[in-house]
Amino acid sequence: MTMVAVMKRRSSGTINLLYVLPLLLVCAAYLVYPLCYTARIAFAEWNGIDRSLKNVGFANFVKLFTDDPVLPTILVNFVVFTVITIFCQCFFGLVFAALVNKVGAGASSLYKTIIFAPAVLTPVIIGNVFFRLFDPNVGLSATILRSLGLGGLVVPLLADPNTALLAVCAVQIWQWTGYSMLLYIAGMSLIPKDVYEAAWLDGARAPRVFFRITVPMLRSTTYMLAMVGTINALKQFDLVYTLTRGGPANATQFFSIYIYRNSFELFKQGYASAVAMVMFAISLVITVFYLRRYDAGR
Amino acid sequence: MRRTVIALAACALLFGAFAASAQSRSVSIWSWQYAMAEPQGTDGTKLVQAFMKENPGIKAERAWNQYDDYITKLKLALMSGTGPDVMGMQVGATLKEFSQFIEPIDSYAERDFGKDWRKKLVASSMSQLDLGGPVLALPVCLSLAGTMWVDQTILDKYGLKAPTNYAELKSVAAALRAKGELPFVIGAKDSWIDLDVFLSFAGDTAGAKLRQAIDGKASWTDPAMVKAFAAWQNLFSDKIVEDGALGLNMYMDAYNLWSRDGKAPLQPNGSWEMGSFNPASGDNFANFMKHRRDVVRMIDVSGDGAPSPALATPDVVFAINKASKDKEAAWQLIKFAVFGAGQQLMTDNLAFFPVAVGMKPTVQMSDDQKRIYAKFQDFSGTALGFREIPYPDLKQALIDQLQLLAVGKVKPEAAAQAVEKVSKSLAR
Repeated sequence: MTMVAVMKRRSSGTINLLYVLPLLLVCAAYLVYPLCYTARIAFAEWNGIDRSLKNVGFANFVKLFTDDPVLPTILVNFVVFTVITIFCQCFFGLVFAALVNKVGAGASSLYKTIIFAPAVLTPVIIGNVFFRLFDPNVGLSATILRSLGLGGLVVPLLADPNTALLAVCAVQIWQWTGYSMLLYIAGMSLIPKDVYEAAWLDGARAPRVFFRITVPMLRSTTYMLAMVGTINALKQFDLVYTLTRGGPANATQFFSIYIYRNSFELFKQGYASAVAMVMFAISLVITVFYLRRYDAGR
Repeated sequence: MRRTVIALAACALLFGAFAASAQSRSVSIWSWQYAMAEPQGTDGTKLVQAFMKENPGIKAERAWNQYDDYITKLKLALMSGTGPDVMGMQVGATLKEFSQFIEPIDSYAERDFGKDWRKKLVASSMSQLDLGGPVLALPVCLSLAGTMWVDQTILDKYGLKAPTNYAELKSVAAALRAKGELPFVIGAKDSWIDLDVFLSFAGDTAGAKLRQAIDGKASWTDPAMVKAFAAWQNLFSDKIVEDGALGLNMYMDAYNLWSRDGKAPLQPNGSWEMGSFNPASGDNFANFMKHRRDVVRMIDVSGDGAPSPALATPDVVFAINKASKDKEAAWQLIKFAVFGAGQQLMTDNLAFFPVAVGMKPTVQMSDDQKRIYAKFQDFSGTALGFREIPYPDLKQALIDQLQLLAVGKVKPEAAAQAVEKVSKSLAR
């Protein structure tokens, strides 16, 4: 390689770096710095107001893992919420996708629009609507049940710790099933037709084709939905906050609400940052796990 | 001629400079108080305008925000040195956490009103501010919580009377439920109303021990305190409160059932509801008159025949920013709001009670307004002088246990022990 070629290559590398520099700076300012700052605060006692921080080492983490009765509840809620919502959203999304694919183009568009519509609404609006629906005193569902003489079936879903989390799950599933359906429809359209034709020629029937061809070939879509669903479950805030605010008695407590409570209501910014770091670590592990599975499945 | 022109120009310049210096002082005030913010109330605007009229040399600027936004905004502003001169605060934990940014105010009060300046203020308005150390803020208006509002029309319909003790409340709630009516309607999802009711109960069962327990000088496991926890739990286990109470916000869910829909016969709430007796409050006023609404003391839960006490508290307090460039102007504004004509404006709004001794409403009041106002003044005679718990961890522990009691997941003794454990761990 001549000297000129080396110079040109170096120059090209510098220019490339300059092209990505703005993005790197933005990432450093808005992603890396806040993360490092949160990590720094997690090792301090700070009310979020004082100018100085008091270093406390691992005390916040020790307290979180050994003396915080809410953390186990949060972890259980996260797992329950993740499993139920991802399973139901994937299952109903797949079923709706298969059914919508069977109907004619006009009806298909109509069904897609109707089923997908909740996904474009903000969780705060949905939370408020379902909050009114679930109200056992003057809510719509209670009024209908009472008018049908079924008043005994009226249950304070959001006020009972045994049902509150399930009610939140139901609303989440209602909102995001349409999103799953659309991704599955997109995934189905990418499956080569000759695979199906070969299966038909071999005498495979519809259920067998669905479970042996369609479902396995949508695996990457399912992984993606599971990953996004898990991260969303971890970050869950607005829907839960509008429906239950983490209650009753922490029955629907999630990481984000707990961080908010410690940070803004209890003035424990250091402790809240420790919770945030644990949440970040969990999300990192989950993302790496899903990405590896996703790559392995390709 | 030339000399005359020069002299005139010099005079004009001097006058301009003097005028500019007279107008150069400014004071900014930020607050969260809803009653002082548009559009619910005009007190804040009136306060600032009246202050500028009385102090033409000082330009006052105001900014009101919703509470959560306000605290975030204030926090960032103070940390970056761009905070207001005067800031509205809530007594308790908020005032304590912001204390390093606050200029102690007692030296200003002492300078202008002498050593006995405290005597100019209603005692209960200072009980959460005058804690032995420097006084950080002064109260602007007073409210009473821990009282019970009654819809007389619904009660009369079934021949019921406002309950005065637990047995009566239980009986009235059962009778109302049997008629398909809602019983004692509370938005227990909001922790503040849970605390109001509980503190009122505990004030009845434990008296002075309640304040001592909050300050770590008495135990939360004292039988008198446990009795209050039990009374709170019984509200839920005896079906005295409406179904799903823990899922409802006080504002606006439970409040709408009371105020707008006229479906709540009984509701715990405070003196700020008095504002609905103001004909200017429109539909609220019409509903109040139609339903013949009244206020009574919270029920007796100790069994001594006396009702539970109300909770008197400053609804908003004003503090001077330590970094203010014109602390004297800031003090003048606070002085105007607390001791001067600004206090009269607050008093005349009739939504709150005055903090200045001897201050009385000067506006025309209807007979109902007079009756309710007089009742609250009567309640204030035996009210506890606090409503806020100044230790965030203790407050949260109490809120958590009240919720667990309400869903029946703990017993009163266990709840008391859990709160005591947190109380003992605090460095006060």
